[in-house]
Amino acid sequence: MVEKWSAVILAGGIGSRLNPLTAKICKPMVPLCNRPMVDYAIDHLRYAGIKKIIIVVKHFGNELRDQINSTWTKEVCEKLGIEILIPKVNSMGTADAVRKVAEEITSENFVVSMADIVTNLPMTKFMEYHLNKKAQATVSMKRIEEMATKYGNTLLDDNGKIIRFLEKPSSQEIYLSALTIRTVETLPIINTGIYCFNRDILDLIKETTFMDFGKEIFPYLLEHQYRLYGFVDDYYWLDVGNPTTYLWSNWDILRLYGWPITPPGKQEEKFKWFLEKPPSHLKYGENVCIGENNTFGKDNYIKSLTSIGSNCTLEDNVIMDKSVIWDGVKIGNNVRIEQSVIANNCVIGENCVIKSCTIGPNSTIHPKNTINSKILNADSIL
Amino acid sequence: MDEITDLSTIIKRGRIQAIGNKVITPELAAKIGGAVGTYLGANGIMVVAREFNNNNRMLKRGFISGLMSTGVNILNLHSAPVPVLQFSIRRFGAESGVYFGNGSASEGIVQIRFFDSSGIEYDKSNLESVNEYFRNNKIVRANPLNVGAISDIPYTQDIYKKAIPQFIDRKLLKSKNLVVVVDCSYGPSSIVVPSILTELQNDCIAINAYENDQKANEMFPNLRSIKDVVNIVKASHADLGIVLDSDGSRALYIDETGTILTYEELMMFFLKYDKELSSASSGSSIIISKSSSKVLEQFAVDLNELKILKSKNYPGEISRALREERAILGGSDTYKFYFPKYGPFSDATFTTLKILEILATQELPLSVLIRSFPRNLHAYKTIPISEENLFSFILKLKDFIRKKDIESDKKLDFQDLLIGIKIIVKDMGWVVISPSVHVNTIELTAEGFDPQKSEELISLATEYVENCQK
Repeated sequence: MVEKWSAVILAGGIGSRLNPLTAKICKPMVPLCNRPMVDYAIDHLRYAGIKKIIIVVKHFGNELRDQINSTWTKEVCEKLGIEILIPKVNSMGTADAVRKVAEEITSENFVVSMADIVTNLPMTKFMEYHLNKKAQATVSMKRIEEMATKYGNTLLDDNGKIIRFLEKPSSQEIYLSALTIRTVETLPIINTGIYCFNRDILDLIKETTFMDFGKEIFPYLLEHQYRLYGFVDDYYWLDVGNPTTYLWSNWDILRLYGWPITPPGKQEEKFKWFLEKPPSHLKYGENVCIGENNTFGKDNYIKSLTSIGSNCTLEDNVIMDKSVIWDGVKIGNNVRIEQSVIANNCVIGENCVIKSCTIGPNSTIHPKNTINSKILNADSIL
Repeated sequence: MDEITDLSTIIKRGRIQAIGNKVITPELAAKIGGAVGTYLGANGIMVVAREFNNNNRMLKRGFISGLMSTGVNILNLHSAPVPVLQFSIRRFGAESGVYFGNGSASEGIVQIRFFDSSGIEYDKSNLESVNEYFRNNKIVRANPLNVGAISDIPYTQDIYKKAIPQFIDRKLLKSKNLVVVVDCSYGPSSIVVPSILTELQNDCIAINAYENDQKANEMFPNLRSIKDVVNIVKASHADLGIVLDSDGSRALYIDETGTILTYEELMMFFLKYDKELSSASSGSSIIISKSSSKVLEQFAVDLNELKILKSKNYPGEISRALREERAILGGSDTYKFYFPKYGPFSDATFTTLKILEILATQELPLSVLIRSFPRNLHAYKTIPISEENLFSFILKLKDFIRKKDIESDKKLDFQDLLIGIKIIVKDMGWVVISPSVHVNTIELTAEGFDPQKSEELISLATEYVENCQK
């Protein structure tokens, strides 16, 4: 079955809501537990047995291409038996991106995925569902607990066929739709952004000027009675949309909620991942991941649900709790960091307390600062 | 009455709370609405609901005026239990919700509670932000053409009634025809609970299940209403008795022998018999309130090596911890139970359905199912009291605590357990003072950090019982 499939990863997102974390990189490059998000998307597809993966880049395209090529080298791909292509195209939307790489899609069916969501959607089950339904398009879906007005909502019939799309509907529209459908769902069903297509759809994309799947292609398919289905299942899915959900997604990966997605490195002890064995004097809790080439002083304590990148320096008596530290960060003596994200190359002076903050890259926090619930832009000095 | 210029003077335990139409006037409610609307921003959507009684109705209308003036759109639920409001916020993707109710308070006290987009009560920082706009008169009014719209959502109760049973084994429950006595405490749960139970083919005996303005200033549930349920359960050979709090978020549960189950027994009941919870992987987390009995912690560890995390029993705190820790169950000693598969908040209707589902699965009476559970190693004492004083005891105790300003003692914390009061003493433990439903006595139960402290807690409670009757 799987030989019949290839995949396109749309990796063109800017990630403006994630700012300042996306001030110097694009969203697919943002690290989750020391790995760029796009790597999780690649793993997700290759774990499902997909051998050919086409990645469409846009913002920070060259940087992203270089990063992908440095991780997924020719040797690595050959060893894994996969092919990764990153064509040089300039796309104007999700559907346009697929149009621009259509010639590379040679399989009967293909998957379109995103590089900025973290999910363990059961891909093979999803692909089999698409084939069993003889669908021309199948959309991955999920019941969502809150803020359904921020996403595309969908109404399905008993057979899983999509009967209506509500693109970012108002609460009143969701209320009315709940009244019109007999089988009342407890929670709204939203589109989680992964699609299976039969290659018939490529002809439609080529023949039209549609730019976007959600706003144009799917409504068209529905109106013209294509075989359009929804795959609803209970799986882990998190839209890494803002600094708070970004922090949560790191915690979830450390808790293995995204299994088989895991942090990089050896899991020498349960729920602890190290790219390099940390020094014996370092005290750390459960659910942590630590990169390489780090320097740890005395009496540091890396508490639970913390991720530390590579090339960082922690002086003495640094306590970190439920936080994410990217690469090249320098932290002085007697610093306490809780539920915060510190981006690349920041310098935190001694005797600082940082709680519930997001600090953009290349920022400097002078000694003896206490900051709470703040978002600092890139290159900030405080 | 002095004009309120700072909401912090009427924020108690994370909620705006004061006497309606004396302290919280319609004008004040409108100003609070304006501050909340400014905090949400124009074009936000808020679901608005209330308990029965005209005091809440009047204040809700004042609040809505202020809210609309800032451009926020409103989904109006009218009278509804709190969990239906929380369900609606999530179901319809709204940004926020507000509830006007009385809780178990008395004498015209109104509580205004705010909820975020997950249906979780606002935390301290959210309320402080609202208060910033209020205190500094920084309310941003909308252009006259952009004033918020108000939409009724009258069939929401029907959507809720259809949705909530989807989480349990309806077929099994329908086949058992269980007998249930439910006291709705004259609250809006009466709109949904009896019909859900009947729809699932339970034989439902509903009492106090209508709006009654005559009872608006009485505290419900109270000892008399609880005793009535105990007696009806025994007389009708019911499988379960339920005494709902008037806002529908929690309830007391009574087994077929007329015994009220403790919060700890109910938690153990869910952990042991619920299909999903009992098969949860070891190391899964549960969240409990800090003053839960140690016996519950030991039970959870022995059962499946569950990880116990303790949370402050403050509005929304357990819900937030539940979401942050991805826990499988939450509970607080105020009889609130949180099933994350359903939602991050306590809904007495859902808790009831869970209990009935387990009774249907186990095919044994509730008292038998909980018989083997470990008991607390408590200090215990009973104090005789006249029948006349027994029924008014809890009101007098609450009054005593309020008048003596004991509430402000930072070493003490008080929890309303619907039938009694739990006093938590820092570095000592806790003691529960509750009137008996069977004999004319006040029962004192304490769990101290050690036996000596348990005895000291009993002495403290005895002092309270004696003093509040003087």
